[in-house]
Amino acid sequence: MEICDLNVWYGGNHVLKNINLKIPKNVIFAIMGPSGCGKSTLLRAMNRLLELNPTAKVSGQVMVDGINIYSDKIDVTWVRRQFGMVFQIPNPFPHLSIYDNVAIGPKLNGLTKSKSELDQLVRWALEKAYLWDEVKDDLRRPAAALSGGQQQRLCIARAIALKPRIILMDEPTANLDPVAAMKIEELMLELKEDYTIVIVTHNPQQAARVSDYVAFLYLGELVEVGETSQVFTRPINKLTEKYVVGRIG
Amino acid sequence: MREISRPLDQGLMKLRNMINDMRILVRKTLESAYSDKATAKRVREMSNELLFLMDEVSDFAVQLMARYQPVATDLREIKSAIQVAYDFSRIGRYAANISETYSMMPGEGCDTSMLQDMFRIVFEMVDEAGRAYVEKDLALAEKVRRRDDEVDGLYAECIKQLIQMGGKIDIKCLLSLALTLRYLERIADHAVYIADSTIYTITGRK
Amino acid sequence: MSFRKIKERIMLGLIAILALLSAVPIFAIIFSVYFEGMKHVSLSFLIDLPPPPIGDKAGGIGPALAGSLILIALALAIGGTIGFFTGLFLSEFSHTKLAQQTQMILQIMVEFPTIIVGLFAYTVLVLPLKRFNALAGAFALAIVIIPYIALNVKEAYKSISFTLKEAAFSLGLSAPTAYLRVLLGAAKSGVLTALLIGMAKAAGETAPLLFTILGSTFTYFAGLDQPIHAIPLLIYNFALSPYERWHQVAWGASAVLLTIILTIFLVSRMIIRGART
Repeated sequence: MEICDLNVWYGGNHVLKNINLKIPKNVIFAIMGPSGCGKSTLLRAMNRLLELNPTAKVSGQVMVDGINIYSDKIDVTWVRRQFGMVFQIPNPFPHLSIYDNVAIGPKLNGLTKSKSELDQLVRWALEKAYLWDEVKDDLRRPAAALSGGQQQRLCIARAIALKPRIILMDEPTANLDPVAAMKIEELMLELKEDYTIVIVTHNPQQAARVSDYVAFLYLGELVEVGETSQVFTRPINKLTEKYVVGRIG
Repeated sequence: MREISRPLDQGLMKLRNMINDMRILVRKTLESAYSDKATAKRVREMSNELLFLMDEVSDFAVQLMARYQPVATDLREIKSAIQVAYDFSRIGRYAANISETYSMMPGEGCDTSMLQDMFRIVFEMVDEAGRAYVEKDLALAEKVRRRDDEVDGLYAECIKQLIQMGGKIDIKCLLSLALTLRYLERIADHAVYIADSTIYTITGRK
Repeated sequence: MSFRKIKERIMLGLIAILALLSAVPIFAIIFSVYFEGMKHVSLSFLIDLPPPPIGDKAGGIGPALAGSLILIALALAIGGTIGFFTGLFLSEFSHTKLAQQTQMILQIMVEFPTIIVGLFAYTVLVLPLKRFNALAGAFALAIVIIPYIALNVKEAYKSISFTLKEAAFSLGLSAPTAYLRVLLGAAKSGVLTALLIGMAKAAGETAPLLFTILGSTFTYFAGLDQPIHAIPLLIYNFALSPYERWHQVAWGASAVLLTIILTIFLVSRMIIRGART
């Protein structure tokens, strides 16, 4: 994925300024920065979910496998299906069962032909999300009955059930206890084998733990991008240094 | 942009103070080892003290890492502190070796003047390396690095002299001169390591 | 006990008494309606034609009850559909000028005298057909309930957390699919409540029916283009009549109407409570 000259405005507010980024395949790419720096906006610009916000205006290009997803010829629902998204608050559909939460995406998008195919897909996604063993006895339970960590893994299953190319994660562990958070991080490393993962985090330690590459965003500008091992031992930019050691934030 | 003061900062300050204490003690140890032949025992004590301080520094550094998961400059500084403390403790040990060697040197007829230049340079290097580290002085650290060649040249020359003197002087005298030279050369190496750590702390480059 | 505490007790007691007093009328109404009405209500009362005004003949409110049910169903079908989509529009496009203006109009409509709505239905559906008819009544009732349904549906959709909407759209669904097949479930209790409020409103309104359905006192449902009767209208007509027997029927009809409305109210309370837990 490649982002070229991306600018985003909310009304008259210029919230992302000339972002240029290249994200290699099958890596975990972290975007970190203090709250309000525009990192969640950047993530939502990648799958055009930003368009839910009527005041948002975008210019620039986002290329996915050579296709500019902001091109007029591209259908926005197609774009969103190329990405699986996981959010800060575990947000399974509370009125749906565990099964339906995973099944609803493929079902409404017509990705499966038969009930048994859908069953298989649901099981596959739940297994991939390390949740199958915990829920297989009663897939009809409401999703709201699960613990926070389980709900978040259910959301990951819901995201990968669409067989996306890229998984976007918006602070996926911010609302979880440390053990549940660790499970998610472990899962991310596993998912990296098959997907490119872009994770937004306000916790530089998390970026250091899980990511291969990291970008530091500050006040809507991309300050530094590099391999995580480099950024966390010898950041090039003074601002990045101050952020990763916790002097600003 | 407001900078936040962090709990880690107090830990780093304490770590710096510990290293500075070692630096001062190393200077004193080295001085006593060379100038005062009567205090081999005292020098040995100081050397042990340095060893003890090194343990303290590395324990404390590990504690800081466990508590704060430092990154970037913080991480580099802590890693360097462990190394520098080790270098100081080695220098202390060589100083003790020097003063022990002196004590077995024959009281008369052994000319130690050839050591003088060598010692002066090495002492300066240790002093400068320590200062460069504590004051985060990149230029001074690079200067220490360059002086390594000077020490190596002088060392080779002194050894050549000793070989020439060969059978003319007392074997005990010859041996202690050679050993002292060797110790001084090793001390210079550790001064260079300290300079390396300084440069790494400041720039992140090795 | 200190003086301050005594003062506090007295104040609290006073407030409690005033609160009770404000609830007295509602209980008085319910009590008097059931006291006067229930003695006339029986199964046959719900089915039979009204009795003649003179004499002690048995009779009921059959045509009016059937008419009311038909009118409520029709009004809900028309007003519910329009109101639902209007509410959805108001919630999801609240940033547009059109939505803001629609919202304002709906708020005015809530305050609108319903008799004028009846007059409007009279001009567009009664005059051209040259006959009072059920459709005109349903149409008038639909207009009356649209703002209630729309504004409540709007609240129901607004109450869905934004992150849930993001989740629905992140699955690559079109807006209709996302709103109707995924998010409707999350807004279910609010939408149901909105429809029930509309239903209760439609069941209780009299004024919009005055100029539209006439009140076919002695005939059952005969077609959408024919006059039809409704309970509120029956109560209005019979209560104003000079006949004691019809007054009794009006009391009975009142008890039936109150039961319908209280039931709707209780069901919606239960839905709301169910949604909370």
